[in-house]
Amino acid sequence: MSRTDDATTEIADQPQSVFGFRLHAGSPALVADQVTAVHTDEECCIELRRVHRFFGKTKAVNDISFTVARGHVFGYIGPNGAGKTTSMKILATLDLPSYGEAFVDGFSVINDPELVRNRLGYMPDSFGTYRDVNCWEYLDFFARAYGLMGAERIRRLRWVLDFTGTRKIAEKPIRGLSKGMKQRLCLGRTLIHDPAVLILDEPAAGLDPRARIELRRMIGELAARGKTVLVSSHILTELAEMCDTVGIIEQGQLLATGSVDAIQRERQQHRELVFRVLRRAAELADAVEGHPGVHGVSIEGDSVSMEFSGDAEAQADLVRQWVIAGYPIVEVVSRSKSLEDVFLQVTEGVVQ
Amino acid sequence: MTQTQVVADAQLLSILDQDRPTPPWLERIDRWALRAGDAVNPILVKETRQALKSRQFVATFSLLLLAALGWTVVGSLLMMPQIYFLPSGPTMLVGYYLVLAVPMLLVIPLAAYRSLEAEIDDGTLELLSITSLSPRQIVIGKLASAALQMMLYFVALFPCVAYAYTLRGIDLPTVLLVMGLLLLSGLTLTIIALFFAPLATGRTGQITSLLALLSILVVAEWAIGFLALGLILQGNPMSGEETAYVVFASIVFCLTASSIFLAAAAAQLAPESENRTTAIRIAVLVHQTALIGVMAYSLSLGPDVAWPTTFLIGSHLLVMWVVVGAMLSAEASTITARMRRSLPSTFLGRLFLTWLTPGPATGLVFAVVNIVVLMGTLHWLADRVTNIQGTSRIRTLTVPIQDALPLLAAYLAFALVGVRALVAGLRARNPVRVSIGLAAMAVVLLLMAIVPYSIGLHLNEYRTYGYSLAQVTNWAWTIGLALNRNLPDEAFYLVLALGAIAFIGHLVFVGRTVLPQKLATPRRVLEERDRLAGVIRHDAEQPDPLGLGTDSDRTQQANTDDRRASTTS
Repeated sequence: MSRTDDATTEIADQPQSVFGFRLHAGSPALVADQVTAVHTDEECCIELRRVHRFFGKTKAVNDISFTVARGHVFGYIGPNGAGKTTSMKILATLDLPSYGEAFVDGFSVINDPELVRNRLGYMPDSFGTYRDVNCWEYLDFFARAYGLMGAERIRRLRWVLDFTGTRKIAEKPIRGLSKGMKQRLCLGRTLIHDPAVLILDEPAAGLDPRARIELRRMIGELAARGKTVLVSSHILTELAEMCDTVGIIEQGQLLATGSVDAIQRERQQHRELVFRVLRRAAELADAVEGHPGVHGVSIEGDSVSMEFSGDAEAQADLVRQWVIAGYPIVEVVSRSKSLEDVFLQVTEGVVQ
Repeated sequence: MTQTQVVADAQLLSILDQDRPTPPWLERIDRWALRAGDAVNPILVKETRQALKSRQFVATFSLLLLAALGWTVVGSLLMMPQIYFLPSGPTMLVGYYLVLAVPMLLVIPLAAYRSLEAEIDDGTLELLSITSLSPRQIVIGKLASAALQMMLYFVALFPCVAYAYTLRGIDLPTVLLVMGLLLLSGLTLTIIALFFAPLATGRTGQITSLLALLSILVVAEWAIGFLALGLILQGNPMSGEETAYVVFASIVFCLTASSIFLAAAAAQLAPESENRTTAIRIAVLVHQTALIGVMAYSLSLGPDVAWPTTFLIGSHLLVMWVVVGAMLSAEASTITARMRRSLPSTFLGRLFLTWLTPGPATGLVFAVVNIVVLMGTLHWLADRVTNIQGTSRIRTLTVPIQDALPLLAAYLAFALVGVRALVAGLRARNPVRVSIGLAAMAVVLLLMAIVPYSIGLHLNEYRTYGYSLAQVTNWAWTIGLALNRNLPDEAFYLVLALGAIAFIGHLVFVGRTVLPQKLATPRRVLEERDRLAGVIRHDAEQPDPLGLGTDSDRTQQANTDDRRASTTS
């Protein structure tokens, strides 16, 4: 990977100097040190490096760093006001970090925004549509705005209309479209210049289940085509299904990042085990009580539930032990925590 | 953007979906239309599509036609039967002017304002910002769309104006002068409206800026109407040479002033990391240079033209530098790595072009140098006006002003240094916009006058007292005395020394800030830019409007088809 070897420091709200003498305020603004911005990882398509964004005293983004590998889907999860949109806007070159650096495909979003924009598709949480234009004109305008000309523009328009399933409504005015159709159109606009990186801010918000499934399918297809996708959403089950990695953010800070399984494993101290036993449920409950790693045993009809802290091997040993002991166990269910459980465990629900 | 283009694009999908053969001549037209459309600003294409379908345009255009038709019928009937033997052209043209002036000077500028404001409010400006369009292209596109609408209105009213001309009583140059005045004013007001649109983001600010714009438009409508109606009804009082000069000066003024507003509007849309000031500084420099040229040319037309020209333009430039200087001195001192890549690197470049680079230090030097140049030029022009063909009346007016010019330059330099210090202090605690420089300038000027005067009043037990050197920062009193030719010499030189010391002190203290080092652009960035430019050029050279593939594609496809056919047989 080639290097962007210029020294860069971007301070939006930095302390200023009066006649060459630097003034330091009581605010947490940072001094403009020279930071060497080098992007070295070939496979790293999106990178945020110690990104801060302050609005007065509010730390909208507070020291966030993560990377997204090429062709991966990264889910950005966090409560409202956590800093998701702010950091996405920084990546989309629409805002400047107070401190830190961000790269898209090796190019700095601060120093080379035009190169970043060329390979980035950004879909904000609002539709951003025009009155008095139809879908075709809308997409055609953005194709022109991205510098697509002649045959290339027509080819991209046709592809986008087919991919998003909006060909039939191409000549309909935008104002008459349903929310789902508008969302498809906006996704089409995001894809019109064939960007390598997609940043989608709450793309599924307000959509009905069918539209959500369609959107999920499209994102999956885009990832299969090698696009790198950064997507934020409140619908965690969907994110868990479509994302390779997720980042959980709250109060401007990244609390956890990694694959969904890894975060679940890391955050999950207890796994719920349920044994369904014929006739001897109470006896089994007494027996397992006090076994290493077993807590909170309870009985519900034929089922004995317990919290188990141990790896898969220990769990297999536990099951084997009681089966050998002669308990008529007909079913064993192991429930790991869902992404929602992990999210609730990680975050505190504090809004800035 | 042509009508053919609009139709071609709108129907392109249906054309593409049909397999019926297209006649070659039609394909050629489509190709040409698409190529022409590709060369046009995308904003213009979009705005035209929007505008032609919008209720506002349909309503305005219909009303314009109805009003013109109504006035043609009513005006002609009212002037019966004199219309057959008396010149009735001016009366009819007044009506047509009024019909045309409302959309040209009011509706179109407001529509342009609303269009840009809507982009900001609806979040579409964000979407545009991440495309290949530059902020300047966005503003130019909006302006071009407004100009297109103006052309449509002109074309619609052309038969009516021709009808008025046939009724006699008005000559062709006057008609052209009135129409030119309307067009130039309409375009200038549209540019001012585009400058106002992104000025405020909050609701209160937007309402305030809209009210300010409305006031400007109404005053302009009245003033231009006064001028135009005077020309129509009383004829042109100027000689041919004077008319040519006024037209030339007006065009130069409007074009160069508009370029400042355009640059400022684009700067407001540009992100923080971009260089937002150099274009404005260049536009201001060009404006001042062009107007100095106009003033110098006016000398050849005699003192009666040269004196008012010099006075009006000089006053305008002075006010401009108070505003522009304050805003340049209030710029943020952050100079991003992106900006530093484009800094001049040669000795001469660093010597002359550094002052165009962003930052309050360079801004202050740029403003002060220009103010000194302006004052020197005005002094020389005043000298020429009085010495060459001077009358005693002009000499009496000019000489005191000449004496006050160096004082004005010194006071402005002193005040700008104060503005820079004040704004830098404010910015250390809060992020502030450059417009805060205007407020800072007002405060500094007020303090410079009021503080010494109040102290003097207090020391003299609140009784009237005479001027002393302690009042040297009191610019109002000092300049007043200079205009009355009562200013002591030592006060005059002390003011000059104050200005010079403040400016030189500023230079000494901010040496490093004034001369930032250039950063090299990374090789990969340069390569990527070259690659992108190459891609765009390649596509532009070989457009394929119908998506049928390029000539070489078709040749390849034809060869494949031939091979398939031979294999099958």
